[in-house]
Amino acid sequence: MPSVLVIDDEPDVRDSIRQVLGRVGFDVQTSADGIAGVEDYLNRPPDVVIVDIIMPRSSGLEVIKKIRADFPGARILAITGGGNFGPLGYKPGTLVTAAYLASATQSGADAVMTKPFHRTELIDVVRSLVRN
Amino acid sequence: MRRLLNTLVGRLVLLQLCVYGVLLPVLFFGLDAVNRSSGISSFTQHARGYAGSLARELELGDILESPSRTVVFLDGSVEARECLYAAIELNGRVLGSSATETPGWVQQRGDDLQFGKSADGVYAVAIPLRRESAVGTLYLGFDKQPTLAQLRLVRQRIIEALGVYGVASILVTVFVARLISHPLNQLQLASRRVAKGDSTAQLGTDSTMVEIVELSRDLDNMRGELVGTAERLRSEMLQRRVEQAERAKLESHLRHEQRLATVGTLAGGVAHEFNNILVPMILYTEEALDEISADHAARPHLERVMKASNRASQVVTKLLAFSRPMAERPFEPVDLVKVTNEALDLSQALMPPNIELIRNLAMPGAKVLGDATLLNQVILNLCSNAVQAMRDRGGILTVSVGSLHEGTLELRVQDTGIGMSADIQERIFEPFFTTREVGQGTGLGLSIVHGIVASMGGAISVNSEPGVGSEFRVELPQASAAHA
Repeated sequence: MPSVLVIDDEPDVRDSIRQVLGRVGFDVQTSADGIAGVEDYLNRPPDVVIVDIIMPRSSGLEVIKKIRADFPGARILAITGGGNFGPLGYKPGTLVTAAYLASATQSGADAVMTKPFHRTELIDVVRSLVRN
Repeated sequence: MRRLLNTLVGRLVLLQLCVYGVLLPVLFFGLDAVNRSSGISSFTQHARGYAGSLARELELGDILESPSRTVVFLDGSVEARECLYAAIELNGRVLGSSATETPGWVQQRGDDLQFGKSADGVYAVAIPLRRESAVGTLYLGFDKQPTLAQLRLVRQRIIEALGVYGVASILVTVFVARLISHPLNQLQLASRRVAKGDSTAQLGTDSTMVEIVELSRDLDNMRGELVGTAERLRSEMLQRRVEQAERAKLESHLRHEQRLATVGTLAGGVAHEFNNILVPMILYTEEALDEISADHAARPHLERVMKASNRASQVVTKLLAFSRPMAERPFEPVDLVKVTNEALDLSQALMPPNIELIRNLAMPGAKVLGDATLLNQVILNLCSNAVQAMRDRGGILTVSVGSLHEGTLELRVQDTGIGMSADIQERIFEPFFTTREVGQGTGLGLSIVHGIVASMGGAISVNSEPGVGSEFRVELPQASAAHA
């Protein structure tokens, strides 16, 4: 059973992702902020980690950098409400612009998605990350 | 009249009249006296000479021997119009010319020693005669009228000559005075034109008088200086006006950019919240739709929820369109030092003079991945806050760019302003947080800066001490060669 760690400061977002991925056969763990998320990852590295980029205490980009530094093979999906990145352009449910991708992937993310996304989009992205 | 007397012409004519009031009478009386004395003396010399020659002729000849010959002799001198009457008294007997009546008073009248003595117009001469034993006197009367008339005529001429001289010399004075005052009037007219603003009016005259020429040259030099000064002042004022206009334009541009950023941030903030809310709504609804049977009574309701969620998502997208001017510009490699310099040039133009700006920009040419306009806004905003913190007592603003470590550039904005307490430092990046009075700031500036820096994959931190100053550090990932 592939495992997924969801790091997001919004409880409803965490829980809804756990619900969707859990029902299609993923083992889903959650963390409420970046620092706890990195600890949870180190304690039990999952197959895929989903990281919210804007969070208090430690930002998602820092979390991604730390995980990538310790686990070069980690599969990381960055998600964001996007709005705070107004300058970056915004298309719901899709991977954001190439420039944003460049900025996020520079930190170490394998894929980036903006909120909100559909159930099937989430499942497809996570499955493709697990496969690769 | 008073004004006329105060002019150069008036003064000179008045002076001349005063001088002539004394000089002309003196001249007149002097000339007249000379004229009189010379006229009289030539008359009397002639009369006495004539009488003397007659007397000698009588003394030497024998005319006196015969009374008839004596009368003829006397007739000759009267008829020759030499004298008015002629008579001889010899041994008590008087013989007169037959051509005139011999006046009875000739013996009493005797000899006029002075020309003007007699009032009857006759100059009487009595010459004693001596011949052998006989003793007598020759009486001759000369007409003074022609001589008096001559003297009067000469006096007339003297008066006329002096009058002509006086009038002519006054005319000459007026002419000379005009010769001097005319160029002065020209200078006056020209200087009035200059005073009225005609800066090209030459302060010159057509006079050739050295003093006037030199005066007008000096005045024209002065005009040149004044006109130059006025021109300089005018151009300085113009330049200041242009600078003010530029400054106003810059400020308006800055305000516009800030308004755009504010709207963008507001829209972005709301969108972020809504997107986070939409995630569970969409995911749970889709889960429910996936779980229930195709003919479940709740399916249409859930589909309506799904439809509404999609609409909400579209609304958020539209909301984000507000920030489109800044949005959808792909990031590209940006020269950090170049952008910093540009932003500082702009910022410095708006800085009060009591603040010193120090640029400490290492790493020229090093690039970060981002948007030059947004980066510009970050620097402007940090500098604006620093200036605000130092506005009252002045200070030093130090802006540095350097390499923090491999692959990361650092921009530091340091001020010596009032600083911040720890409580404030913790909250400064929150939207709508401000320490300024209502209306002085939106409280969005630093949250925008934070958002921009985060969007470029960087981080911003603050270090501040109350009363000492603040330092903002912006870390930005350096663009790799692949981006350039």
